[in-house]
Amino acid sequence: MHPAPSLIIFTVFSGLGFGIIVWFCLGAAPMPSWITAVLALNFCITGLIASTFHLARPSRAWRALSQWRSSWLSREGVLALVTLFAFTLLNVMIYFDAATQTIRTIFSFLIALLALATVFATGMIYAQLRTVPRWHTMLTPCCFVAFSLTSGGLLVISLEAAGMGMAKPLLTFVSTLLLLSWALKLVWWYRADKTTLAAAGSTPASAIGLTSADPVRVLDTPHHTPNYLTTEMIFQIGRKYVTLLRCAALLIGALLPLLFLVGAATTPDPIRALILFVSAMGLHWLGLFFERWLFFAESEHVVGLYYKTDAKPT
Amino acid sequence: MTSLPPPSKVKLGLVIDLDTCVGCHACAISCKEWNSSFYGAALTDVSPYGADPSGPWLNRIHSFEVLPESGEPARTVHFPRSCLHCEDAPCVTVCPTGASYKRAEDGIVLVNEDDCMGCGLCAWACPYGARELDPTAGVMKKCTLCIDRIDNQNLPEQDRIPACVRSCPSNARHFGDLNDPNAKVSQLVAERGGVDLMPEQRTRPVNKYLPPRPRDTLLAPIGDPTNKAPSTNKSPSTADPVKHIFNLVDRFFDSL
Repeated sequence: MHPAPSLIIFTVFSGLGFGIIVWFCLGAAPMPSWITAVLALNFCITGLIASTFHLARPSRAWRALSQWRSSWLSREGVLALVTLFAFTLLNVMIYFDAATQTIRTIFSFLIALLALATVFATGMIYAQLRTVPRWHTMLTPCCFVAFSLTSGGLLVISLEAAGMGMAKPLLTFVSTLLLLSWALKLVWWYRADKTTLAAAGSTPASAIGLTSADPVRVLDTPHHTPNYLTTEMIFQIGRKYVTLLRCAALLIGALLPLLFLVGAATTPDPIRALILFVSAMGLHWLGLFFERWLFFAESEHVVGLYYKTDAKPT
Repeated sequence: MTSLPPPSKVKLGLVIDLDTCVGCHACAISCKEWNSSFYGAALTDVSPYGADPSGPWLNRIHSFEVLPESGEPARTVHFPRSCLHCEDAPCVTVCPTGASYKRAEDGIVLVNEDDCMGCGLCAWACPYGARELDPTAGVMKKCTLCIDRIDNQNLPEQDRIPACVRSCPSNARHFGDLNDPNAKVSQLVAERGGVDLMPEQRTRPVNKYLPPRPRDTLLAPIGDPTNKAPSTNKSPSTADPVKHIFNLVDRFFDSL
């Protein structure tokens, strides 16, 4: 699939924003908590606005809230708006010290669940598609949720370090999550590499309606210039390039942040620790952009069977 | 509404004969013309006379070469690709605005061009590439099974079928109710073993494709011992002596 910048920004930023919301609702935001809240809202709203750049008619985007009964994209839109509204309400309650602590805690917990559901729904938009076998697994939304928590968690840690200092349990938790999320991504990549179109059962013969399994090659395409399908859904990327980018994603998104976190946890100088925390956060986010770009670029859509075949001409 | 309706009694669709299609693109052109020349928004042509023309077409013809491993000569298969109006249309359920819907009365899958926001998710969901974005209109477009022709009382009777079926010169396209076992289309499917495209995608398409028939086998040349066909040359009991002389001469030259 063509890696659209709008979708990469949308998924990374909204994942980040809703991840911050989850940590906020679990009590990890340092005082004053409105700073964390504002950052969360900014990232969520930026992500949602970025997604409208993928639309040919963004003025009709409001209609996307109507089909939550059947469409994951609609569910994601509804959940996002409900979560953001509830989160804003929670912050208003906190600011005016309205309602009891118990009510606010229960409300926070529900919002955390809503935020997780939103990111899960974002992942399901892609995972539901049987036409892209590499995406069609529950691992996909799980990766989205995992990275949402790591990217949000690293921001919250940086804010804590800038504020009153690091809470050790939170640091341990987020570091472990960072390791686990990239381990999950490695599992996703492992499965994806085995899930070729042929492995998923889609071959040129099944695509064209031929009853024999003889090799098929493209003799002539319907058009000799690109069209919507070839531009959107057939994106060629070399194997060596993929390996290089995956290593870059792991280095920048996993290895360096973990090293920096260890460095930050062990250094006595709070300024140095803060710099290391913020760097870990920034590098992880950059690594996620690599990972998301590859998510789209490496994927194969079955419609490609009509435009390119494996048979060698004799 | 993008939930799928209950299965309809009438399942209108096309049957496309891959054995008879000659790849002339007449169906693609007549589809593009019908959907560009009459009422409603035209299918856009971007830079049609320029170097890189593009724009949505609702029907596209591919040509493939099948290379049999048995050593038989390769065969060409021309393949028209358009919406298959699937029973479990994934393009309908993924649509967030409700623009993509399947008609309850005849199963035709359509796009409501007033509601579509052009997100393209339906195109991602379709295994057959049936949907394309119209860059000028900003909406997704697809085969409508010519709903503006099939019930159109202003057209003569014989024109009340999809434009592609009407224009096919080799009678490779057929239109009808695939839920009616007595319809010509259903009989064709039964006789020729019509198949679903990409059944592993579980879309349950209504349109069926008739696979190419097995080829006639070529006989070895006359005089070759593997040629078992009865040969008039070899029959000694021809009544006509002139013909017999000519047969002798033929056999002499064949042996050279």
